[in-house]
Amino acid sequence: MKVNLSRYLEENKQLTKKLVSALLEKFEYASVLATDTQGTRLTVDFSGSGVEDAMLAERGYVARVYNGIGYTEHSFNEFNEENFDEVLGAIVKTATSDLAKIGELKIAMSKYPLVNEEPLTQSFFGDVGILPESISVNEKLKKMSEMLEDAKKCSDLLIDFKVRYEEYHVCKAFYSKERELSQAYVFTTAGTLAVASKDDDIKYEHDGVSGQIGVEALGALKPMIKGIVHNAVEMLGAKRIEPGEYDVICDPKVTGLIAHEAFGHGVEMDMFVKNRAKGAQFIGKPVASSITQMHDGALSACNVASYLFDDEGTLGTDTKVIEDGVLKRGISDLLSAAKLKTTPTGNGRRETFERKAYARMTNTFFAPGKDRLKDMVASVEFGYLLESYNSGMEDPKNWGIQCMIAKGREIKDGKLTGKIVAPVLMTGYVPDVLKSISMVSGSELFLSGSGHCGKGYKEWAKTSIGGTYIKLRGRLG
Amino acid sequence: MLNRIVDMLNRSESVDEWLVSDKKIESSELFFVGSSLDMNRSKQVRHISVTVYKNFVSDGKEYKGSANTKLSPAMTQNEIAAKIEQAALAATFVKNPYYELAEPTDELIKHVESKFDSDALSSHLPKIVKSLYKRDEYENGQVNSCEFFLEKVDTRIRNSRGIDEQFSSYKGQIELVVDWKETGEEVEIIEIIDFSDLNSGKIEQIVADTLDNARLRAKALPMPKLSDIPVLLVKENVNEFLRYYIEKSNVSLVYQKYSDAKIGESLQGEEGEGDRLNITLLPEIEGSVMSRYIDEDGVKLHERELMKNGVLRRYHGDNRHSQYLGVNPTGVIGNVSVKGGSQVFAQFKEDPYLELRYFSDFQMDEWTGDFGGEIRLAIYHDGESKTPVTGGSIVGNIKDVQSDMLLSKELQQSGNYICPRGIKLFGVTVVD
Repeated sequence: MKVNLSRYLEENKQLTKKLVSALLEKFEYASVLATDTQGTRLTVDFSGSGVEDAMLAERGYVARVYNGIGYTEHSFNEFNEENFDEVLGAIVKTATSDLAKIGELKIAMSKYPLVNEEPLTQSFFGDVGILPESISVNEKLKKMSEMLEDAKKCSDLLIDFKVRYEEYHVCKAFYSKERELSQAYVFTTAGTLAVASKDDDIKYEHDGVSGQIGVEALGALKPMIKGIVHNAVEMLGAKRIEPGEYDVICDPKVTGLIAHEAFGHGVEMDMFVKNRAKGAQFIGKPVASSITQMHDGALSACNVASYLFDDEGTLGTDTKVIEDGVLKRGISDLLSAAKLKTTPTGNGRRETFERKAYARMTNTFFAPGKDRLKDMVASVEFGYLLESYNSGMEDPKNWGIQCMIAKGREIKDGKLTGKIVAPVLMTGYVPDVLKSISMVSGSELFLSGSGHCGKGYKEWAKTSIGGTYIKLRGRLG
Repeated sequence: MLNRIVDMLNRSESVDEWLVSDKKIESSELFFVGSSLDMNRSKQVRHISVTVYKNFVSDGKEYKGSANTKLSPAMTQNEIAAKIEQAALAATFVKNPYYELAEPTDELIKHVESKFDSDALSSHLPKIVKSLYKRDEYENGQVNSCEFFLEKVDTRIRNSRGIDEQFSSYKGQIELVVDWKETGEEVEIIEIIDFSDLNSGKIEQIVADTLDNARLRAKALPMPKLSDIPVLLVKENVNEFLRYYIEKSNVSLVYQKYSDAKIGESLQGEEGEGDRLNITLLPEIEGSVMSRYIDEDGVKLHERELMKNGVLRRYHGDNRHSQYLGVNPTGVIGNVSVKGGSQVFAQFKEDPYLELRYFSDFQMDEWTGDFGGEIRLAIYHDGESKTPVTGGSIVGNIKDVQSDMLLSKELQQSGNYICPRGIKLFGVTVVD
């Protein structure tokens, strides 16, 4: 089913264009991003259920103008014919008198070139199986409750089982002197969290499905329930790993976490501008083993972070970040690219219209290789198969990594022994980790877009991460 | 607009009860690269959050369904009406045990004082910028970049029981990144400073301390192999560690059986010779962005003793889950005060130790008690000399260390916590 652009954006198109025209009379560059994203989050668990608007649901505008030296922005969400002059005045004030107050401190202003846009008018309308609005909340909650009941039958050790479903209908329009872009697409995430407890021990497992799909996500989740409960229960009583360096095989989720945390953040090129990314010194140099290929981009895959244009009006691309182990290029927002004199890659993304745009990842993954998982396991004398993760943290400047991994399955003499360790903390120096990649499975590319990615400790955005199974040396604790 | 919404809610036959939170937010933001202004931004937005409730009986049991929706000032009357009706319909399918909404009281809510009240937001930023760069005076290290956010939020909370309260608050944040280069590679330290009041001296001090820590990180050696060494948690890592107890005593976690904490029992276990925790929840701490005297449900907030000598005195948390547990709702109180312990911080350092200053991201899992993180800067004292070290990680579980942990006598304010300056832990695994 085709996804439509919101009526609100259609109806306010002329008013928004009028604002851009009025700004262009005062500033050499002006653009407005208008957003109208509807999002709903449904939850069902042991203690009840919930229906609320999703975290990134938004309706509003952000205007950007060239103030003569650099760029100024103003975000607002009350905009109509009556308050048009008030909104215009607020933008002008921010770009002139507010800026002048800072200027009184004799602080230098970072000089940016004027954005040079090619003329472009383009639209994108996504396509999904079942549109969210075509199924009632009741029916969705009913499907989720059925999954909860299925889970309860799987184990008496569950203390909770959460089923979460989020649906977003994203609508955005971008207007500047040269550009008129619009897009509408739907993405959903459906996931579960199984929490098991025995004696004083609590363990949990989460999994789910995501993508530019509709309510069919719930159907895809249902067959996974039994496995998720089993995985949580089997972790009960698991001990900590004996700290040390091991041969490890990462499942596609952990592979994705490494791609995202270890390397993805380090090639966000606004960090190059700030001299905060070591990656800037490694362009054209080997950073990983020669069998490693890494991609990022709105067009690199179809998942929760796939779009026609980013939040600065730049078209999305597929960036081959690492080719045959060599760091080729980074990912950039519009202004970082202008500063660095590179071509923007369509990675300028905002948490919502209320926040600044930064260079952000989209769909980030290590591309499939040629190995078979069973050969990979057989090649390990003593090590672990690492599965699922809880969190990760980047360190672009000094290339440390921290991955909180849910569990490790022990491998001895090429066979899984059935022993589980949990949780597992993997740390290390990024090039050491990536250069140790010795096998990459040729299985189907897996992408997960169930979580949110932060930049540092804030600026949450939907991204997808993934890959296939990889084998490497890892420092575990 | 708010009156129109309230009128619609009152007139709707689909809505039994309702709660509305109306926030008008104004912000001024500056982004610096080095000491140059890279961008300035402002924001003027309004967010109206509406929760509608439906009361019903099923199989002889009473239920209260609810659904929450966000309304934008850009919505038409028809759109708002449709959103309310959709939420009301959704609420009929949400089967939560019955509870009562918060009731109004005569008690006046206190205003949280802030120097930001004195002038327009954009007027304050130059003062903060000045204080931030005042200590940026070194040859080998500097402020790499920083982002300033200063928000004023005017909040009004109303519900169908008659609650109608309003208050203003400020939320300031600085994301500070400093770097330093000695003979090796350049390193950085990130510090997040949250504040609700203007305190230039405090910001200056944080910048100076962060630069000094970056200097130490630039000189740091790789983490050596260490075993059986006590570790000292400092700075905001203390908050994250102690957050375990705040979460374990929260009504929501107890009701959902993620916590088996019982009032009158020790949360730290009965054994061990460590310091016992004394924790109080406070509606206001000077400068904390979490300070307020009313929560989002409209429950008025007061000081509450949570733990005394390690023993849980009460549960705390939101209105709904408090009623499910049959306890008087404290409301969601945002600030935490933890009493100091038996030894001064200097005593912690009389024997070999590893002082953990910065992690990539120190995390406490409040469900399991597992904690850990990759170390960006620690100070290792081998009994004779002190060495800055980096890399490696710590891992542990709070249940294994809580009975013997020691709290420093000295206190620090870190964000929404007033708590011991340091915690000494024994038996934590240090991975090199």
